[in-house]
Amino acid sequence: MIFSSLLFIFLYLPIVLGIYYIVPKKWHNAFLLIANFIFYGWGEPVFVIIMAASIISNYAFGILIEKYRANKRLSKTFVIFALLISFGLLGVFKYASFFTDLLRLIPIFSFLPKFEISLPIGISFYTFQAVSYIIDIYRGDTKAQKSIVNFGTYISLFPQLIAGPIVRYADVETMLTERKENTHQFADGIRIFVVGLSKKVLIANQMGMLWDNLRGISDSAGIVGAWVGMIAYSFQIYFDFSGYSDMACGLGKMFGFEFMKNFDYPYISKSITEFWRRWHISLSTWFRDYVYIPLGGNRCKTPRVILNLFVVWGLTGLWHGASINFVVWGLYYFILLISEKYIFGNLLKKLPKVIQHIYALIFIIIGWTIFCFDDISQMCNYFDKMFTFNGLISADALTYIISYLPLIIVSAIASTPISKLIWNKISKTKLSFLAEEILVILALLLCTASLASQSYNPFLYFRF
Amino acid sequence: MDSKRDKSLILMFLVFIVLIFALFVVLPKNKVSENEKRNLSTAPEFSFKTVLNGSFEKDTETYLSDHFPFRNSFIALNSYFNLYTGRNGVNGIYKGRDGYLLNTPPKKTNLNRNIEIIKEFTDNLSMPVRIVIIPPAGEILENKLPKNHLEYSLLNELSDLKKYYKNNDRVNIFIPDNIFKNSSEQVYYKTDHHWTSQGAYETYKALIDEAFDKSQFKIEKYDGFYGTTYSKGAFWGEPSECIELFTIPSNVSVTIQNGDKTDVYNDMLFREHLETFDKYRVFLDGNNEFTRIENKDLEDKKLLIIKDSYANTLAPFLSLHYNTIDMIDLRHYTDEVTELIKTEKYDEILLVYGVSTLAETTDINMLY
Repeated sequence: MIFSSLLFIFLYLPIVLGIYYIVPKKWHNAFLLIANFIFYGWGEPVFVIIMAASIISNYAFGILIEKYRANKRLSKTFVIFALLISFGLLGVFKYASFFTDLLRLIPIFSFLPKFEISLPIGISFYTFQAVSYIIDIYRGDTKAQKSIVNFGTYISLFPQLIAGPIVRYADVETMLTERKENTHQFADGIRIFVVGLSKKVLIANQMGMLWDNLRGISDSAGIVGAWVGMIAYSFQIYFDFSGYSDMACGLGKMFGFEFMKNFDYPYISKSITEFWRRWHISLSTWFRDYVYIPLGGNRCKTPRVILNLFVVWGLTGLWHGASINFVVWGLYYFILLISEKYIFGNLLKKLPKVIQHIYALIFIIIGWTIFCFDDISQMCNYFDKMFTFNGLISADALTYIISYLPLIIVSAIASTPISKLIWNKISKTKLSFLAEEILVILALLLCTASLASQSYNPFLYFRF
Repeated sequence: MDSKRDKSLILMFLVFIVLIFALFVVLPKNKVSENEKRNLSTAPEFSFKTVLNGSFEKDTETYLSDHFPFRNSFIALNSYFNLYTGRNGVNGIYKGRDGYLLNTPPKKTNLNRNIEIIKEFTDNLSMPVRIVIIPPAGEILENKLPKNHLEYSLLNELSDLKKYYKNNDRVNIFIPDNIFKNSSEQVYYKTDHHWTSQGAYETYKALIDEAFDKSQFKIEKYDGFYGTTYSKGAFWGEPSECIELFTIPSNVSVTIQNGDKTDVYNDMLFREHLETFDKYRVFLDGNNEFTRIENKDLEDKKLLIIKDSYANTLAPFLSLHYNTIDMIDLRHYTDEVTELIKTEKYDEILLVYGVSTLAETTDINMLY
């Protein structure tokens, strides 16, 4: 199930909210667990089993690790088993096909069959959450959850199950058992949810259409056409992902949970280093705490630090998808990050701010080009269109860009904190009460209209 | 008060989602979407099996979308919102001047392929062949398009075909681009992708030397026509238009065959459709597998029309000059076309297609 759908907004949400706030407080988590499984099972009826297996396994191991913490060897063994199961499931369902494809390139392994396994949605997210739980217990940073209902609710919590943010158990431990839902939090949840929904439906989806159009004519669209196409994709991916994170945040609040911010206006960054402090924050935090720091972080000699970064960024790339271009994408950022760290980072800071912004944006856009194409030859073809002059811009490309220009401008502004600052100023006035209601209802109507149109299929020649 | 503000926001949000949910459950469900020319889905089947294989979930989503409260209004809201934020044409329809709703340029995926098939088909015949290809309204009515529009250039693509038949006496290709550009009448509908009866008439006049003059026809006008581009664009605020029926009294019998069903009528116009939403079907009852028009007053002259939906308006004019006209629609006709031609021994063959159909369809394969 996806948040930006009529089904979720007008069927699932009213029913779940209704029942949640009617049942007694002590049943809140139990009901939420059921609602989570319905949410997940709706799209993947069979894969619910995988998630259930992950919950049971990690719940059991969590308790065992804590119980036998005194016995270093035993508890470490439990950790290894727990991680093996978690990463094993992730490895099989997400990466088996990719790895066997790679292995098959080596003649000895050419007998390996081709794997066609569907990827259970959300497995990348809930696996990482479960792993953080196990490691935090082992380190003594948190206590094991004794109730399997509560633990299950944490792993399967529908707001962040499908697309994050990655929520560490320690961050929500108290909220699981002691949250007090309140009006202000609920109202804030609505505000953030509506913002996220609008980002997804009114901006991301539309930028996706512009990208599809320009990509379709990319062979003749000219160099400007190619760049604007990739800019459209860059907007699409940001508003899609951050919109989703906003909706997750907002929904969490409606049930009394507070999740961390996952995006902090990444496109205003002045360096790649800054970009990664603003983009998909929960993921880079996870890699820092569970891979980078255990490997030694930056408390080592330089060659080792570089190796640590190499591992982290290779894995970050791989996490995004089981395809070579994602690994290349991760390593692309590795190279830029160590260059900023050891080579020209200080020089960069001395340049005019505008130049720093442009530098960052250009490399971010190039990064998305690598991210976008899992077929390497298509990627190279697109880079060719971006960097060799084959006409400035075609008539049709210009037509598309003019059509979408108002939206492009809105997207650019919305990528900066400008509108938030303006809103904060307005919020203090008396008028803001009405303005907020009007904006929210307008956003809901427009988003609903867009979603309703997705099913509209005038089939011109049918004769019934 | 902050709390008052929070409470009324919560109230508004909850009322919105709960109200729509309630209306969805309670309101009676339509069976048919006239705009989309399709049946709307029925309630999903709930069973262990359907839940497990995902069909219950998918069917529920379709059921909700199809019967969503105020569905047509929301779709229109989306269309107008896109229009007024610069994206005229994003739903496939340009809202142009003077009430014209024009299809955006079709994708040319199959155009070249279909042209090759037509060339081969006509080369293998022995009798005279005429090919009529109707350009899209957007390409002819350039001054009605919005200023910012994609390139049509369909006529360009046809120049190769024109050249191919240039010195051919037996096969002729006719594209009514010039007569349409220079016409003072309305040759395309404003709310439909087809040519008007007027446009069909002008093409008829250019094709047949002994064509009847316009003054010899009785012209009936019917109001309240909303065509395909109206439905597709969802700009419900646009006005309706007229359908004209050109008739000359004649002794015709129309036989329509679909699968095993064969019916015989004595009129080429099916006026009952004028009472419904899909008025264009007044012409020869829409698109059928096989239609035979016989005009007993004329001497033997047999014509085969291979067509999409444009010819439905053209055939009645031609019936004044051929005693038998057979029409086949390749989207529905399943028998061998070459067999039909061999058996029926037609005097002439006519291919009538809108360019947009040629650009996208795969049904021309049937001509092999």
